Amino acid sequence: MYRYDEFDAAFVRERSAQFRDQVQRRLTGALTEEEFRPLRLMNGLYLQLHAYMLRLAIPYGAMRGEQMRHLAMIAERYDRGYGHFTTRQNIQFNWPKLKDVPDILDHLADVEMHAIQSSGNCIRNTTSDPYAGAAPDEIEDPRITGEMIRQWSSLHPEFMFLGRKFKIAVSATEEDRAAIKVHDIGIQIVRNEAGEAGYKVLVGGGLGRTPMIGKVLREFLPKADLLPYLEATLRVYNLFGRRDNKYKARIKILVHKLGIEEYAARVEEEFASLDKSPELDADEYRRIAAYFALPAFKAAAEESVLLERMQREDAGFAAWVKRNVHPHRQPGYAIATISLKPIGGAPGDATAEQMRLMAAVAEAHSLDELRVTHEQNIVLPHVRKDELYLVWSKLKSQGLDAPNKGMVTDIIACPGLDYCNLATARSIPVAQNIAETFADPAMQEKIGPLSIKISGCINACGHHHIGHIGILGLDKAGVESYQITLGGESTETAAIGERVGPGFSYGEVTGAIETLIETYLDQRETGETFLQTYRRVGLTAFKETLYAAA
Amino acid sequence: MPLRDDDGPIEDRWTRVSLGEALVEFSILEFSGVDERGEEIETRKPSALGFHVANDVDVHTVVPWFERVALISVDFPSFADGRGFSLGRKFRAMGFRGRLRATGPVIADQYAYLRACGFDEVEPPERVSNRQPEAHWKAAAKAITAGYQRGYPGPSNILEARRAARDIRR
Amino acid sequence: MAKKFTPSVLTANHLLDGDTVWWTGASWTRDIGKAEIVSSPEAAAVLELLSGDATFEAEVVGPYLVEIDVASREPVVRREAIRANRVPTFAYIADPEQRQAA
Repeated sequence: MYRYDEFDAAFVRERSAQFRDQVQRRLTGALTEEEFRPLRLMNGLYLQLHAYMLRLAIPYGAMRGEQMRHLAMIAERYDRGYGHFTTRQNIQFNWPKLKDVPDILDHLADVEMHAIQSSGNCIRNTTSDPYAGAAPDEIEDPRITGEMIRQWSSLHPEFMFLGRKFKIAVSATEEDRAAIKVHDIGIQIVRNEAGEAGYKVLVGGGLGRTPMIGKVLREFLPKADLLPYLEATLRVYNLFGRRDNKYKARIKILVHKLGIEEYAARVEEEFASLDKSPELDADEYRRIAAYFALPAFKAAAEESVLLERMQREDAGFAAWVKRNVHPHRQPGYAIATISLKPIGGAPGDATAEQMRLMAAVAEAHSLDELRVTHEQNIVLPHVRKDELYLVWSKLKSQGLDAPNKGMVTDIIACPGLDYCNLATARSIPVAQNIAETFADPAMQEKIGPLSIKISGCINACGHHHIGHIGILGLDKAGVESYQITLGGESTETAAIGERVGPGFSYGEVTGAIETLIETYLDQRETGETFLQTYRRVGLTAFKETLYAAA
Repeated sequence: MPLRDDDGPIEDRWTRVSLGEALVEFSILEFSGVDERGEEIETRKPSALGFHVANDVDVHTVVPWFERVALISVDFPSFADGRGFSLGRKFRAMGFRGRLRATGPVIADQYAYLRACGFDEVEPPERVSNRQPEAHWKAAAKAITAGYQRGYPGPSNILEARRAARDIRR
Repeated sequence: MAKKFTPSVLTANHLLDGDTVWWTGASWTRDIGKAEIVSSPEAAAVLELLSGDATFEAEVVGPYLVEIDVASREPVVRREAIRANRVPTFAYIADPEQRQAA
């Protein structure tokens, strides 16, 4: 894990003091609300439906136990005892007070955390693969690149007032667990023909009103050129992106308008004109990489007798292992996912007690590492197989043992109309209703892998476009109406879902999902997942049964 | 409108001159109307001429004038419209050595970013500067003493400082 | 035809703590029951004008008018009803016991 040096520490302290001063100037009237708003957003502070909301940055989703424990303290001392893990691997608190936020930022700085650029029209927190450093299939640790970008993008003098928000994701595996194709810039660590590691750079992906899949900007970028190349890419966007309409201001619209060839030509021209001094970036890369050296794994046999025995003896544990445990690069270790989707819970929410438990489990059993996933779950990246049963037992004590990763009840949902100022419909209660409908573990097992994603407005924070089943909540003349899309997907075979037809009311939408799932179960061939069946039979078959009664 | 730079408020010796008006000493002209001025500005000595450019100006059309103007004023129509930051950076990268001014409702918190992008001075309207006394600009400029970006002028650079610390240890 | 005017109250969020507040005609309150109801477009226009004032900005953020049902004193639109209720529509504080039971 990266640790702050004296410079990082001083930077975060200064940023916190700067925000304290900005709050003070807002209170005295030196700054108008119009001026203060972008400044507070750049520090993660929104004003939502009921209260302020503070989003903290968890760079590339990685945390130590101490940091998670600090989040629990903040939840209890300054909020209402819980926090919400987001689809961008961050955490947000729903009830902080403006007057407390500078103190919260100081507390964060104590544990090498901050809220810098977790919102606003600037370069947001960089996201990555939650299995980074543990995945057997990665070329190298994407967190090194994530940390390079975190530092480079922090208070970048040129790019703090972009036309719109700007999101970067980094992945280092063929299987894409960071949804890089739906980011403003997606970076994949690849090897060229000579075997050197470098970057494949995608640009112009994104969800929102106009969902688009990213296009290849550069097939192979040498590692030392990354930051100048990003600078060139951002400069072209900042100079030429639209400013007249916020819904057309994302880079994807500019890339679409110019065409990827013209966009790439402008970036290359800009890039060619830059002073690159790659040795300094290479030095910095090596410095950061040292922090991400492989942890001290204990030598162990690949198979664990204890794990196998406990799976036979405890069906609940076996179900959890089957769904929530992933292979690790190191023999004898596994990657375990803590689902924050208990039936009836709010997706991504965790209480302070649960946070403290996760912190303690990470310290005792996962080499002090935790990750937040874009599916709003938590990952323990380095668990010895021999200790999985103990880990599961501890998690179970706080209801953190839901064996549903990737299943129909592992639903992603934005906060929706229950919290959000922009929402047009509720999301969380819809997720809860669907999860309760499919709560039976046997039913979930029968359905198999299926991702349902729910957004409470067209801004698509719930990523509905890339759910196998996507649900978009809208307001139709004062009534919540839910549009359903099918066939979306977020990984290396990313696709934008197709709208199936007219929307459903709040009361109807759960039934509609049941019909879609029944249709899949009727249509599927042996071994097919929902997505595979959908891709084989197409939209019409689902549409027919869904609207048959109408 | 009040003008300031690192030293605080400064006197503005420049005059904004519209298209129909006669040139005076230290005229700032709208760049978009330059062609219509024709020969009149060809004979101006560089020290006495400045341009005001919109923030969507094509940089390449300004470059031929770099040696002939002493000041470029970049329009910031709103403090949230950050195109001017990249524009300032481009002007410097492409060789402009004269005075670079940010004109519009920019706020104290942006001053350090403007300096890092090559600007020398800011000219905010009175409705903004009245609320933000000189002490606020001075304090905001010093709020962050070291940044991570290479190649942007500023108080201190963290990457260079790290390298220096490494060199000392070696 | 112009839309029929619905009686309204002025709402905002408190600057310091973010709480939902309503205008009583003289000050801000956390109790919608004490909000001043404006019953004519003219009175609403006066309130809207007032809401742009700097003295309001010193205390609250983003004032706007909300249509309410005069008898129940509840906002007409769902969003505003949820907001006036001050909490989400579901049991929002994750309860460990509830989770265990589920």
